[in-house]
Amino acid sequence: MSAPVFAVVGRPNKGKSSIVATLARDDSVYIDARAGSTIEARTFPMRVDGETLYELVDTPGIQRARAVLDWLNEHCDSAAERPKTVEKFVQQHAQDPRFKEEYEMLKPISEGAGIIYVVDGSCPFGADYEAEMEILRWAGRPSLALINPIENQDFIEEWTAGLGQFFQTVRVFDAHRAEITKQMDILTLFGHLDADWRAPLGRAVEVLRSERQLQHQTASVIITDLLVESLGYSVEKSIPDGIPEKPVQKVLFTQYKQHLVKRERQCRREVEELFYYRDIDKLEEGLGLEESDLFNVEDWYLWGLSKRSLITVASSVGGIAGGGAGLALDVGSGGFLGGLGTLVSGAGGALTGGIGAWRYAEKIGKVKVKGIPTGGKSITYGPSRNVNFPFVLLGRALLHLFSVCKRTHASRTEMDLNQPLLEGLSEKERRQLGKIFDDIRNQKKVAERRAQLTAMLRGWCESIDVQ
Amino acid sequence: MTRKIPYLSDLYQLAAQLELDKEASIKALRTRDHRIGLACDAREDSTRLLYWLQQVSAQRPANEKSGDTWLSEAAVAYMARAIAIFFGFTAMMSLLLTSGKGLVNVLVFVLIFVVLQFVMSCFSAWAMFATVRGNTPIALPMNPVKLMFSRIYPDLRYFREAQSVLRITFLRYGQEMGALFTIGAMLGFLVVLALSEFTFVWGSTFQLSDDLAADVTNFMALPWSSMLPAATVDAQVIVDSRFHPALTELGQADIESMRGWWPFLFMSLACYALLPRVVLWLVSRFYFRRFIKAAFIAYPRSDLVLARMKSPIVETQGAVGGRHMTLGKSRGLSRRENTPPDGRFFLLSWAGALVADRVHEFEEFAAVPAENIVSVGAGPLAEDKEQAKKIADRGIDHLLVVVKSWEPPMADLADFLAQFSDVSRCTVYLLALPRRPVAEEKMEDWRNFSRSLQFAVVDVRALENI
Repeated sequence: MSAPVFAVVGRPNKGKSSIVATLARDDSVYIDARAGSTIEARTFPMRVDGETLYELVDTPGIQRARAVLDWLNEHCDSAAERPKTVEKFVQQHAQDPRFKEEYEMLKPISEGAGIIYVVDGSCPFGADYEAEMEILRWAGRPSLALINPIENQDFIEEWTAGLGQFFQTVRVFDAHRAEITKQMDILTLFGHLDADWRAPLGRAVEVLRSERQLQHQTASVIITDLLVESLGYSVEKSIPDGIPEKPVQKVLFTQYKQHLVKRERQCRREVEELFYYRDIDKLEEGLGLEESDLFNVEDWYLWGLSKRSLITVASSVGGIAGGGAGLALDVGSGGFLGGLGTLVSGAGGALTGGIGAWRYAEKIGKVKVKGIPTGGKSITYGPSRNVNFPFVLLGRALLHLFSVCKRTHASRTEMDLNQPLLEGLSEKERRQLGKIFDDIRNQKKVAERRAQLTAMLRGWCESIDVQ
Repeated sequence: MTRKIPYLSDLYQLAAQLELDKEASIKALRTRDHRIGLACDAREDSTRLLYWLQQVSAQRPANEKSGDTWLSEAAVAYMARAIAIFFGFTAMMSLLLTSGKGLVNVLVFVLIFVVLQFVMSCFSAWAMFATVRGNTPIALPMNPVKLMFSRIYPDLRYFREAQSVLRITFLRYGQEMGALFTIGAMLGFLVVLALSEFTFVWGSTFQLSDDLAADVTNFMALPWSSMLPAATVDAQVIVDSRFHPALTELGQADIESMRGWWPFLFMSLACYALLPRVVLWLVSRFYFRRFIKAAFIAYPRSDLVLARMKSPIVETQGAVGGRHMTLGKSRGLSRRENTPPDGRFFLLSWAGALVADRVHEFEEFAAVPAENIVSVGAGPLAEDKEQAKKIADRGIDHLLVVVKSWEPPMADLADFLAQFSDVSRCTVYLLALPRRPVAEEKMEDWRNFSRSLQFAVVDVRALENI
C-alpha cells in the first residue's frame, strides 16, 4: 500500500507554503508576502529510515477556478462521473500553459491524494470561493479545510460557517505560531480522513513526538556542555623573565573572549540544526552575537540576574559553603560549640558571598601570574569566578533555545532575543543553579551537577511544548 | 569482535571524537550514528559505544588519527613494569652487597623494603577508598604515573569529568609497579642469598632491647608462624646478630647463625610489601572496570551518540525541485503614468468587492453613471462573457475595476479584462478592509498584475474603506 499523500491547495498567498513549511519542518520553503511565489508543486515526504509514512504536496495557487469548473461541467454527464472528469481534465491539460497551476494542483488529487484546503482567516469569506471548493468536491477525495489566520482571527467564524458547507472537517491552524502539539494534532487529523491513513499517520506522530523528546534532551546536553566548559575555561601562556606582562594579559583576555564567543555560536548553531533550522536571522539590538556583547557586563543584567537576585544567589551559595565548614567544626568539637560554628560560618559565608558578588559583579575573570621553577612566568586568564557569568550564558542560551522551540519553519521574521528571561525563574531555581555553578566551578561532583543541570534544562524545554 | 571493557585510551579517543563531532552537522551525525547503530548487535551501552568508536575511528582519515605513536599506554606500561622489576632487583642487590664485610642491617632492610612499602600501600588503600566513595583525592603533582600520562594523553582536559577513572588508573598502575618492585627485590634477595656470603645484623643506636626485637619479629611473623615456623626468628639469632660492629672476623658458624633471619625477611617482603599491593591491585582492577564502563557511557554527549544509534532517521523536508518565483520589488508601472480618471467610465466590481448601493459612498466613482456599474467575477463564466460583450459594445474609454485588496490578483480577472481590447485605460482600485490600510505587498502584487494587462494606460490605487 502506498503512503498517504496530502495536496495542500487553495488560492495564491493564503499560506499553503507556510503550512507545508511548518509541518515539514523545512525553512527552505520559499515564502513571500506577495502572491504567486509557488509556481510548481513540491513534494515533502515524511520518511522514517527510508520508509515513507506520508507526503505533503505544496501546490501553486489556483488561478482560473471558474474556467475549470466550466470545463468540468461541459465534460461530465452524471454526478458519478465527476472524479473521472477531474482525472480527464488533468490528462488533457498536462501541457496546457493556461491551466498550469490547476494541473499542478489537481494532478496529485486525481492520483489519490487527500485534500487540505487552505484559506486566510484574517480576510472575509466570499462567494467567489465557491467555484474552487466545488472543483475540490468534484474530485471526491477525503478533504479537510484549514483556516490559517495570517494577520488576525477576525473572520474565523465566517469561514468556519462557509467552509462547513463544503468540508466535513474545518480547523484553525496558524502556520506561523502553531506549537508542536497543534502540529501533531493536525497530522493526527489528516490520518482520520481515511481509515487506511490512520496507522501511518499515527506512527508518524509517534515518531515525531519521540524525536521532539530527543531534540529536547540533545539541546539540554549542548547547553550544559557550553556552561560546564565556560565555567572551567582558562588560557595560559608562559613567558621568559624580562618580558612585560601587560600585553600578554591583553592577548590572553582576547583569546579567552574569542573562545567563549565561538563556543556560544557553536552551541546556537547546533541547537538550530537540531530543530532543522538552516538560517535564522537574529535580532538582538546591539546585544547581538558580536563578541563584545557577551562580555559587555553592563548588559549582563538583561541576560543573567539583576544585582539583587545575584546577591541573593551568591549569599545563599556562600551560606551553604560556610555552613558546611561550620558544621564540620561543630562535629569536630563534639557538639561543644552547640551549633555556633555552623551559624557563624554560615552567616559569614553568606555575607562574603554577597559582598563578593556585588564587588566583583563587573569583573569577568582574574589574571594569575606564577613563577616557573625553570625560569620565567606563567600567566593565566580565567576561569571566570563571576557569579553572574554562567547565568548570563544560561540566559542567552535558554532564550535562544526557547525562541527556536516556539518558532515554526514558516516564520521568516528575525528572532527576537532581547528579553530578560532568568528573572522569571523562581528563587529556589536560582539558588539551585547558583549551587550547581559553584560546584562545577570548584570541580566538585561535576558529573552529578552536570546531570542536574541537564535535567533542569530539559524540564524547561519540555514545558514549552505543553504551554 | 568488540571488546566489552573499554581502555583508558578508548575514553580519551571518545572525548576527542565527541569534541570533533561538535563541529559536524547534526544531520551528518544522525545519519552516521544511525547507520553504525543498525550494524551493531551488542546490547550493553558501553559495548555499543565502543563499537561506535571503533567504526568512527576507522572512518577517519589516517592523518587525523592519534595514538599511533610508540608512546602508547600499553607500551609505556611494559617498559614501566620492566623498570620496576629492575629497580627492585638492583635496590635489593645494592643493599645486600654494599657492606664490605657482608653485613646487612635488618632495620634498614625492613624500613626500605617492608615498612615503606606497607605505608605506601596504606596510603593507596585510603586513596582508593576515597575514590570509590566518590571523593577523588588530588594526585600529587610529581606522581610518576601522572607525569607519564600527561605525555601519553596530551590533553588531560578530556579526563576532566572522569577523574575517578584517572585516579583509579593511577592507583592500579601504582600497585602494579609497587608489587613488581617488591618481586624484583625478592628475586634480588634470593640471588644474592644463593651466590654471595653475607649476614644480617640489627644493632641500632636507639638501644633497642633483645626482647623488644623478639616481640616485634614475633608479631610480624604472626600471619605465617603457625604454617611456617622456620620463617620466624629464633631468640638466639636475635641475640647473636645484635652487636655486629664488634665482629671483625666472621666464622662460618656465625654466618650460618645470623643468616637465620632470611626466611623471616623473605616472608615479611611477601606478606607486608607484596601481598597488600597485589590485593590493592586486584581491587583497583575491579573498580577500574566498573568506573571506566560507567565513565564511558556517562561521558558528556555519549548519551546523545547512543540515542542517535537507536533513533530512526526522520526526514520531513522537501524533495529537491519545486520551482518558485523570487518576487522582486516592483518599480511602479513603467511606461504608464498615474493620471486622473477621465472620459467615458465603466465601473466593474470584481468578485463582489463593492456592492452597488455602496458605490456612491466613494467620491472616486461620483462621475460614474448608475447604468455603468456592473458586478462580475462571482457568478458563472458564461454570464461574465455576456456582460463583457455588452460593455465592449458601449464604447468605453476608461475601465474602473474595484477588487478586494485582501485577495490576490488571479488569471481569472486577467482573462476577463483581456476582452476589452478597445479600451485604452484601466484603473484598478484596491478596496481595503474596514479600518485596515492596504498593505504595500498587496499594492506590489496588483501593480505586477496590472503591468501584464493590455491597456495603454493602467494604474493601481488604494480605496480606503472607512
